[in-house]
Amino acid sequence: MSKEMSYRDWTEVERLLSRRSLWIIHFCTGCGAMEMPAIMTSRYDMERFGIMPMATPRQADIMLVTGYVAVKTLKRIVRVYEQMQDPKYVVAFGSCPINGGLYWDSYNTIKQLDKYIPVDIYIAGCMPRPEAIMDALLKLMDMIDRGEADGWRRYKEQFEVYKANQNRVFKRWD
Amino acid sequence: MTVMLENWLVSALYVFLAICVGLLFGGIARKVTARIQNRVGPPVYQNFIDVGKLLTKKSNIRHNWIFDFAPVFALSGVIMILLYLPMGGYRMFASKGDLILLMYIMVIPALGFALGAGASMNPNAGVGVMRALTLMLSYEMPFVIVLLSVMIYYDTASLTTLLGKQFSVGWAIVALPISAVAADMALQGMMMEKPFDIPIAPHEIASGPLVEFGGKYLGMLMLYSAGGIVVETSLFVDLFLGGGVVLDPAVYGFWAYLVNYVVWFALILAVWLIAVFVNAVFPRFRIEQAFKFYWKWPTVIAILGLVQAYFLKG
Amino acid sequence: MGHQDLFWLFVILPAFGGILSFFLERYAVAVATLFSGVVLAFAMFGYGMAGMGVLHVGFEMHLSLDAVSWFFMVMIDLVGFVALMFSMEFITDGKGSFSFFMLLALAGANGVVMSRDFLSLYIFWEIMSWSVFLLVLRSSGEWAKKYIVFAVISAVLLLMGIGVVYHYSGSLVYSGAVKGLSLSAWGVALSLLIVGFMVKMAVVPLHVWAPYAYSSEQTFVAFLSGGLSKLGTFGVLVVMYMAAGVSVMHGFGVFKNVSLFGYPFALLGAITAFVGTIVAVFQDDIRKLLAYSSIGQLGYVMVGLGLGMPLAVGGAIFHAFNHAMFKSVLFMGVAAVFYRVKTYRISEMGGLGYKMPFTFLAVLTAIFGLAGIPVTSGFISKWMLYEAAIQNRFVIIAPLMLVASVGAFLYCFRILYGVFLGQIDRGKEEVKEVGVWMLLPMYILVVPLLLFALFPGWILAWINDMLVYMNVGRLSYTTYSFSSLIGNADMLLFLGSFFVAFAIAVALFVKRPATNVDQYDNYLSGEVREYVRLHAAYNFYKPLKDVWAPLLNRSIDRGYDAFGKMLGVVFDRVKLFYTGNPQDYAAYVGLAFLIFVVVGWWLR
Repeated sequence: MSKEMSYRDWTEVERLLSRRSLWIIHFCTGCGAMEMPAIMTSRYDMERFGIMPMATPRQADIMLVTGYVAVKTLKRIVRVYEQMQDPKYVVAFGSCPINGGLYWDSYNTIKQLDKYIPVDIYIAGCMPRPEAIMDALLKLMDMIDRGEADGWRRYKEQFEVYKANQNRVFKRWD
Repeated sequence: MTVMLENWLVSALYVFLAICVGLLFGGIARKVTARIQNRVGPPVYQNFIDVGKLLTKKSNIRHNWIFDFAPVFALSGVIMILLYLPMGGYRMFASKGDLILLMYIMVIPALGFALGAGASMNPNAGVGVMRALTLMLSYEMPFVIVLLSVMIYYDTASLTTLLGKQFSVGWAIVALPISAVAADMALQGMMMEKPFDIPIAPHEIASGPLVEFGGKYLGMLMLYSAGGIVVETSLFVDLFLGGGVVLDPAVYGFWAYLVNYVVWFALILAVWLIAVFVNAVFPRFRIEQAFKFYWKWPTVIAILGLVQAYFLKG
Repeated sequence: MGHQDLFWLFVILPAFGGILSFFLERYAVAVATLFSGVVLAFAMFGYGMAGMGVLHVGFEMHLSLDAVSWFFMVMIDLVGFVALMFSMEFITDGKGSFSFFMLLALAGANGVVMSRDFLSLYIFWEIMSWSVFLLVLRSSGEWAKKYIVFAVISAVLLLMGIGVVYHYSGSLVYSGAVKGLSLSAWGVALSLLIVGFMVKMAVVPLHVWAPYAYSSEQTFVAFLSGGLSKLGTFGVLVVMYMAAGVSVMHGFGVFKNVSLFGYPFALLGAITAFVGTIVAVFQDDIRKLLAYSSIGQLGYVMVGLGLGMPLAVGGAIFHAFNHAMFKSVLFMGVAAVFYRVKTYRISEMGGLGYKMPFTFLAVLTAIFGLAGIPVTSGFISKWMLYEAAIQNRFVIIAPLMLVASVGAFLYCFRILYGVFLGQIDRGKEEVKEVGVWMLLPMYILVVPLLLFALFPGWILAWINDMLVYMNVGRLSYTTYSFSSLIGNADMLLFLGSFFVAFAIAVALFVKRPATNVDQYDNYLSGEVREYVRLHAAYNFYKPLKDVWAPLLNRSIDRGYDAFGKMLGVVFDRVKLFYTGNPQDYAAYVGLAFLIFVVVGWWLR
């Protein structure tokens, strides 16, 4: 391991590169996935900011958690999140990842996503419209530029806390 | 000694420019496709940013030592091809290797990439490489016949001699138009543009061979594919469009190289745009359909071109 | 060194070694390796030892160790020596008989390449052929039966050809056979002899014995495929260019600078290359895959021998040499893998390259040679054959050869991915690398592949001597490069710049961190499993097979079986005459007597 640079030491160039070329993983976890094609197609074209959908987590930077998260889905989300490479960001759609939203009293969903994987930016709404999603992505790009989007760093530093939270919810890992 | 050093520096410049041109072409393709789809599209320098981002990722995943073969062999192979390929009439190894050597050097990066993809232990990667190899078998049939027509008509297998003959006699596309059509159809498969982007289909097999490559691996593979774009379009231009050589370097010196480079750039851009236009409007073939297609009509057209070259030669 | 020494050293010494090792059960193979090593050493340093000479051992045996013999003898002895070294650990039962037959085959092969008259050629050919039969019999009687039928057909054809030559020229010596044969007699004799040798080379449609015979013990098959199949090449070469000579070949008529007699054989070779490669792509049993691949590669050699130009013949000889090297390494690699995992089916293997890295590297280099990558010398021989076909504008042969070469990439990848890469199956995680006595033979054979890529001039010099000796022509080459009428290639520059490009790529690659992950930490759409079979190896080329299905359903092998059954029906009818009843036999005798009387009266 060569050097453990702190996030503040990144040069401007690296931030620019990371900001202007974010790749999302094409993994639709919930009902908010309906809004994803809208931002990819002609009207709200997100490719002009360099954001492209990719097929595997090895190639992706952003994970979109689109809506409510059932426990079964959380397992796969955690797995895919861990397979992504640093630096990585999570964007949560809707009110369900914030506080349970529509399914606040369900036995099967989780109520606060940030306990299980670190979330960088939330988008309020049920479902947020494509304009809101575009706005959030641009805000994420600004956060990256200022060095504030360090969810991946939190995951590495507080790994045991996150794992303990996850294992409390999962019965088995398969 | 200084002449050799100057040669090496100029060649390094040409190779570097070729990879930059390849990345630029990737960006141009995305912009043009976006405009066809009534969108704005990313800026044309987007691929540079992508490669930079990938090469500065903080962590990179690898499976085993064979996995490392892929980016190293791919990039070194593509640099080798660019050294042997005439670009704008200039070639480092001017008379030290002919078309058959070039065809076999073109296999080296693909083989390294296939080995690395196999070592990623993902069945999608194996299936992707299987499709890529079957596609190669498909388009090689008309392409080989086209190469044979050109080699027979001009009675040479050396690219330098070919460019020289085209400079004096006229572009090959005028003499062998049927073969040029078959070559362009084969080129669409060689560059893996729709309808033939079967091996890297993102939705069918999760990017195929690229499924486990990320970070610096993917960055170097993007450089390899950028170089590959330049190699393939430049091959077509060298075979049929005179390689962009319009001024004789012996007479005009440095200006000849500059003008030839600009003309070559324009010609490969034209060939690339044809491929991009076809890419933007077609869906994807299945691999059996691609094989049956290539061994039917393009092969028939290529054989017609071969017959024409054979009998026209006399 | 006289001609007596040639016979004693290269024929009697291995045979004696074989008999000796037959009686030492435990150390048999080691002793055999020693004897073959001694023979190899004498062969390698015996260049130009003796010209042609006559031995009287009851009949006149003409032996000689000139340029042609030396090249083939070193090649075959090297492969034999290396195969025996590998067998020291691989063969566990019947060691005595194994080494005896291997050395006997080696002795026969040495005799074949040294002989300069047809009779000794035939005798040594038969010794070699029957030793191979007994070695195949060690594995399976069914396979041996298929082999021996074709071997006997080959021997009969050879005998007929020799008979025609002897009848018209009165002499059995190669140089003496030229006088006194008319062109039509040469046509008949050459056809018989070449078809006889083609059986050994396994050219389509006489190839059906090869996939069965090549499924026997793999170290023996390394010798059979790497060494002994080249005797067919040697036979065709000698008959076409040493016995008959270029003038006779051109006397048949010239078609685009090539003898009209040789062109059909070249076409047959191109078809063999194509068919062999296509069938090899779909095999699951790795022995059959390599067998069909051998058939395809020797098709290339046949093309070169058919087109009589020096570039073509030189390319054919060089390709035979390269094939001996890389095919032996491949078969020995398969033997090493079998030694550890006890299976020959690719769909049951996988991921062995991580546990057996040295075997993987040797097989990888051999595959580079097979595919014709310019890093190995396999590229040079293919280059020579292509240039020969293209510069004389053979528009049917050249595309078939080139497309077959692309098809070779398909089965090359299948071998690499199906066996050595991919996922390691549970139960095979404790596979270990094989011992040094198995790795050393493979690496001995890898060395010429890499060496002659950098210094092609060395081996082209030997081949040039052969071509000049046979009056075929000359090659144009320097130490590092070679050229033809339409193109050239320089290997030193290529390898030097490849090294520089590789260094650049490594420099760009190395500075960034990388972490290792387990094989199940793979993108499986987010699934987490304890164990799942992830290796894509069964029916790997299914889309291609679906396209080629109608043609693949027709098989030459079943055609031969059907023909055999038809003959069986005819013979069953004939068997009805043998009733076992003495009165019937008395009637037959009386009938025969009557016929003799009538015919004798009529011929009076």
